[in-house]
Formats: sequence, C-alpha cells, structure tokens
Amino acid sequence: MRIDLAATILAYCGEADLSVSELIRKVSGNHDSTMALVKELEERSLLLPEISRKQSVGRPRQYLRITPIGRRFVRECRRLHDLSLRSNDNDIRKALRQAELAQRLVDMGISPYARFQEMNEIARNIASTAKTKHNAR
Amino acid sequence: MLIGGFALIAYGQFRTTQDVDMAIEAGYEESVKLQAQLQKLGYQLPSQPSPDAPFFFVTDLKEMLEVEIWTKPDGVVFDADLLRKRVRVRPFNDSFEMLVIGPEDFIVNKLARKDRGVLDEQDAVSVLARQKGKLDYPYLKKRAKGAGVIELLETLMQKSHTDPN
Repeated sequence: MRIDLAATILAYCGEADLSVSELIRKVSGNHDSTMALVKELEERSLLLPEISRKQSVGRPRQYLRITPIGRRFVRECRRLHDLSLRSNDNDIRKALRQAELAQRLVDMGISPYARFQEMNEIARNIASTAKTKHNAR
Repeated sequence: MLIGGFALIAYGQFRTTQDVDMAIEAGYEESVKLQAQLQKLGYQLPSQPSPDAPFFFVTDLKEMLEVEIWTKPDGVVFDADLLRKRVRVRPFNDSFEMLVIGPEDFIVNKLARKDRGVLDEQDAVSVLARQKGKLDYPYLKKRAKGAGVIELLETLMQKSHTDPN
C-alpha cells in the first residue's frame, strides 16, 4: 500500500463527504490505482462506503467516510512525516556558510545587529523605490 | 523576550525579516488583558483572543511593523532554566537592552514548530554551527527530548557536523 497516498485519501475523506469520482479528481491520480487503494482502505476498515439519503430525488449518493481508525492512521502518518528533515544537503551547506559569515563579522568587531539593520534598511529602500517606480508607470 | 528572526541574529546567521517575534509568559486571562491594553494604545489586533491560539498579532500602524506575541511558543517551557539562559542584547548599539531566548531554546523552538520548514532547520543549523562547542549540550538535548524533537536535532547535528564530539 502506498502509505502517503493512503493518508492523503483518508485526509480528504475526513474533511468532506466525497464520492469516489470526486476523490479521484481531488488526488488527481491514476483512476485504477486510486480505486485499488480505496478498495484496500475499505478492506482494512479505514474507510467506509456510505449511502446518503439526504436527497429526496434522484439516485442515492454513495460517498466515502473515514473511520476512527482511519483518523488515527492519518494522525500517525503526520507524526511520521514530522520526523523527516525538510532541508536537503544544499540547504544545510547554505546555513553553515551563512553562520560562518556571521561569525566572521563578529570576529571583525562588527555587530550582526548593526549589519542586519543596514540590510533591512537597504531591503526597505529597494521595496519602496520599486513600489514608487511601479506606481509611476 | 525576542524569539524568531531577531533572536537568530544573536546566535546564528542573519537574514531580513518583516516581523518581530516575541514570547511572553502569560496565561489566557493575562493575554486578553494585554491585548485589550494594546488596542487602547492604538495598536491593531486583527483577531479576537482565543484560548487555543499560541500567539496573537499586533500591528503598529505608525511604523507599519507587525509583531507576533507568542504565549505558547512551540517546544518552549517557561521555567527558571529558560529565564537563566536568556541573553541581553543591545540591538541599536545604545543603552536600550532586550532579552533574547537562549540559543538552546531557540534551536528547540525552531525544530518544534508545527509548520517547520527548510528555513527553520537552516536557522537551527546556523546556530549549531556558530555556537559549536559553546552550547549547553545536555540542556539542549533535554529540552529537545521534552519537545519530541531529539531525533531531528541529532540528525541535523550529524548531517551538519555540528556535534561537538
């Protein structure tokens, strides 16, 4: 079972009453594989098909409803997702380089707060002049 | 005390930021009183107080500055250790002083954020790098364990080679 897709399907079904076709549109995945996964989630009692009797006219609508263990499944998946790092090697390298630059400033007797204020001032000036130019058009 | 981007400058990299994050120790009732007081002083508070909200926004309309005031910052425990670890900074190079969250609590706060992103992890790595060997590592690990982010912290330290050993 594709755990990430299963969690996505369950989360969608937990947010609203969805028919199978609405669900397939939402996950924008392959029809057959999504259907197979929905079937498996039903077999595991994570998802239940239900018939809506709310409409007085037309065919009764069938939709998918998440079960309490389905909700638990989503919660646990989110917990596992939180365990992974968001940054890649390049992000970490970048942070190390920035820390090194900041340390070099301190070593040179320059206050990082002073430099930060200068940079923020420059950023503000760029933003305001860009806005002025944009408005002048 | 300062947390977030302005606290980061004291310990790690610095980057431009548009808002100021502050943490205060206040229960819900105190927080409501503070919000009412701020409103009386002319600050704008876009949302109604809520007991579940971990922070509230305050906008200084004169300076057009937004401040996030956190009463429940992620992973932060308001206790004597937290207060002891704070650092005084002089952001304007004059006599005006502000308290900044300690570097260890800063790291844990960043990693424990519910909406943690790349930037939060980069901020944590930059503090781990710049403060390598200077941090109180047993305290850092104890706090990270309490916040449920010890494995995240250890993985980041391993990947960034910022473990002191």
